Amino acid sequence: MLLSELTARHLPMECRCRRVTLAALLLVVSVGCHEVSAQQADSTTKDVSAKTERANGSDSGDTASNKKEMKQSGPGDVSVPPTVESLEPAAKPTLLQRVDHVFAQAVKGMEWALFFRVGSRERPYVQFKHEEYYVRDVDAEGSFVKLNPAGVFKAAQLTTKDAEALKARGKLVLGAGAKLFRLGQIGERKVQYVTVIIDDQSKYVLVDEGEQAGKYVKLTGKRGLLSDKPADVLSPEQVEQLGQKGRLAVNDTGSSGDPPSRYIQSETVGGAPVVVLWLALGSVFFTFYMRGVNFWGFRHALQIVRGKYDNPNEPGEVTHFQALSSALSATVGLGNIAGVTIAMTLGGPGAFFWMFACGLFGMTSKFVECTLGQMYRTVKPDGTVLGGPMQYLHVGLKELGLGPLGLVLSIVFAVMCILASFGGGNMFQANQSGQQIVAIIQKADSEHLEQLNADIKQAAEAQQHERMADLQKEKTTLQEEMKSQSAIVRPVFGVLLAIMVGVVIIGGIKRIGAAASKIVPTMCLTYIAACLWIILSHVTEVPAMIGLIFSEAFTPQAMGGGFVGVLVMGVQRAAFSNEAGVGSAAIAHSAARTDQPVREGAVALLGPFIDTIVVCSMTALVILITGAWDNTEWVVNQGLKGTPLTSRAFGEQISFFPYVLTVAVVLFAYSTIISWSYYGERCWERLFGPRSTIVYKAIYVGCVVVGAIVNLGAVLDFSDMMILSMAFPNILGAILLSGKVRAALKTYWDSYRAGEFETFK
Amino acid sequence: MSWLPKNCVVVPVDFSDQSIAALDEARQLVESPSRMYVIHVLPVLSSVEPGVIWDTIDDGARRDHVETALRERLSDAKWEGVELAVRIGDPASEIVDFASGVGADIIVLPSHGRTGLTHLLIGSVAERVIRLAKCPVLVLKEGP
Repeated sequence: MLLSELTARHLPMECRCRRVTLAALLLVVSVGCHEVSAQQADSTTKDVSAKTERANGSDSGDTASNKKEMKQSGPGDVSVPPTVESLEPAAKPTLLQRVDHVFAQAVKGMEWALFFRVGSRERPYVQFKHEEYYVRDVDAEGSFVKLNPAGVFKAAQLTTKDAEALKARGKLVLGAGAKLFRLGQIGERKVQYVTVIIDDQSKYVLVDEGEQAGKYVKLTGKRGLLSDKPADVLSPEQVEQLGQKGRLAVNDTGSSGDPPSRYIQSETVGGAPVVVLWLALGSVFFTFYMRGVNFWGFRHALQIVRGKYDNPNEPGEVTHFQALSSALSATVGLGNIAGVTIAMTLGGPGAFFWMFACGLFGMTSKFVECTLGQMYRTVKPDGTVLGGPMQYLHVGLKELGLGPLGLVLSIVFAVMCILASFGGGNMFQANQSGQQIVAIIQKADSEHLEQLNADIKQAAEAQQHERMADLQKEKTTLQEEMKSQSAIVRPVFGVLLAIMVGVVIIGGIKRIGAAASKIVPTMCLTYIAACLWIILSHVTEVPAMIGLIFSEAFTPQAMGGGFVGVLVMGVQRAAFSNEAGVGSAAIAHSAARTDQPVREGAVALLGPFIDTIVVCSMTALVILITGAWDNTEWVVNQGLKGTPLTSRAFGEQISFFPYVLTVAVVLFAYSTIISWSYYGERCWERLFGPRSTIVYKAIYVGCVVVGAIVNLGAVLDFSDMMILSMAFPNILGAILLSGKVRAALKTYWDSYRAGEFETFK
Repeated sequence: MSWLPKNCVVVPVDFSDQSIAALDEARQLVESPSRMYVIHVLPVLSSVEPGVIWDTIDDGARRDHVETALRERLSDAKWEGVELAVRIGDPASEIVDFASGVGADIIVLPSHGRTGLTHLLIGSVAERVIRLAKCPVLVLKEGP
């Protein structure tokens, strides 16, 4: 008979006195650690359990099954599952972790202020955090013995080999240097212990309406959906019992629930961040106030882009078409490839409806901000142009007698734009393209890994232990190889990319930057062509998919079912992608050669159209056709998201396309980095003058390397927040100045209708 | 430095009112405007400027633009004969280089009087000119 089985039989599971139980456990453990041999254990254990019973004054000897035990424990019973206290020195945080920590704190504060959520609610939930411990004496060699005899993990003992196998499956909490065991203590006794993770993923949330009201239902890994299996429902009593058995994470912020429970935690869900409402309502306001110029001005916008009104003698740097291309090279890119996929995996097909709507209304936001950019730009004596929100907020509001407000808004905008250029415009791009490079280099390896996983599962089912161990060893080696390869590839890629960025923005090698910007339209067309190929080969499915997009927009099977969550997701991703209302594009558009601000505004409204309504729709349909948004294997099991998921979806349809996509992703990232450096540099120049821009450029190039190496975490959240938050000063200023835009639009349109404008083509 | 009329005065101009006012001060130091050299220094063009990406502006065109703008600004008869120059690069070193090139007796320029962070980052062209110059420098302060 195995030692742990013996202890299970003889140990009382419910004890009214915590101290005594611990003492008893300590005894058992200490015995177990000395005598791991099962043959020798028998008499010792009996002795221990006898002592334990005496100490407890209890006679609850039999714990036949977990179920029975659950029934026995009444309210007020507090049984404490045994745990080991770690003696490992806390790992010293690396410099990066410390930076991350500082950022995380800053981001938290900012998130509260900038991303304040309106209409959110608190949702109670319980989180499984189920670990089991196997212990042995510090100097002992041989197997580890299960600490909690009643634990659900089957093995009573773990050999080093077993532990290796668990490690390969990612089921162990590893010690320093990826050691199998850690040093800990139980009471005074020092032990080595192995921590097996049984479940740290499952999360059950309290449902407040419908059949399951008042019960906790398991969340599936997809779109925040609740499980519909009857087995995945827990009553509050069951929650309490599971908690007492050490299967749930403990709420250390204070008890909640009624009656209060240590295991019930609370999270904020739902609601809409103020900045997202601000962006959405701003674009709707502009669309109504400009009387739908995004619809009736569209044809005229196309005429302008084709060069019909390009007068070479008007002030400015570039033609309308060139200004639009420059603005697009900063927006078209990863937002279209990764953003749509993220929106749909989290919010379902309905999220795309709201992205589309946001693109449509965003056209007017873009119109207003770019018209303002032209109105208040400064043409410098050398013919170059300085324009954008930092300019119109300052000068424009001064005209309205709001000078101090304008100054503050323009400074806030410039600071946020600089920070956003480091983050979303740079590090995010470097990081995502670096990851795609690693993914494509390791394509064969990850397929091999997938195969190994399947083989291991098969071997486990067939009980081929030797084969399983071999396969696991192979898997561990492969994973290590992939990891170390990634640790080389990413910095190398980061440095190469930084050099390429540096030669352009610091070295002044103009041709490379120009070539990269000009290649974007070609890449974009290639991408659209591939999408169309896939869409047309499944054209019969398209109407049903469009129906799905509409129905899911209002009654979604995602994010708790309310359309607000899906709307927020769509608007947020669309704003990331087309930057309408953010104000960045106004900087590029103010360089256009014209003396009619409204004309460039009309050109600018094509931006969100191309970015969101054309390119994002393409991605969305491909994701729907391939079913990637709802693919449990890809989304849940393999944890694919963003670019890798899009790449995977394309790979299913066109086998070589992931390679093309990788090239596209790198080029998009590169041109976005180059273009955003222009935005950041202009804002820096506005704040600190032209002479110190070298400081900005040096930091910018450094960010490329950092972005490619780190796992962004808080740094990324921070910069993404900056991009969206640029909308606060920008939309506020644009609303205050919208009267002027409306008047200018009316004058312009009257002249246009009267045929007063000179044409050149 | 004597108070006798100067043979050659260099006046950097950035189109601000102060720098135009400095021209009047400088005028008093010379017998004729033809002894005055007005220089404007352009920053190096950013290689990610849309006009650069699309190859629609270059340094030659910028020089022409600035020269035209300077002539317009100094179209008054009293500036008849003033020598104009446009350089590209770091303002202070370009001004000093130019001044030694033409054998200037004195450089006259206004102080913008920036303080705090902007002063730290931009520094002061005047300060750097004083440090680098090989001839006397007259820095004009704004009156009360």
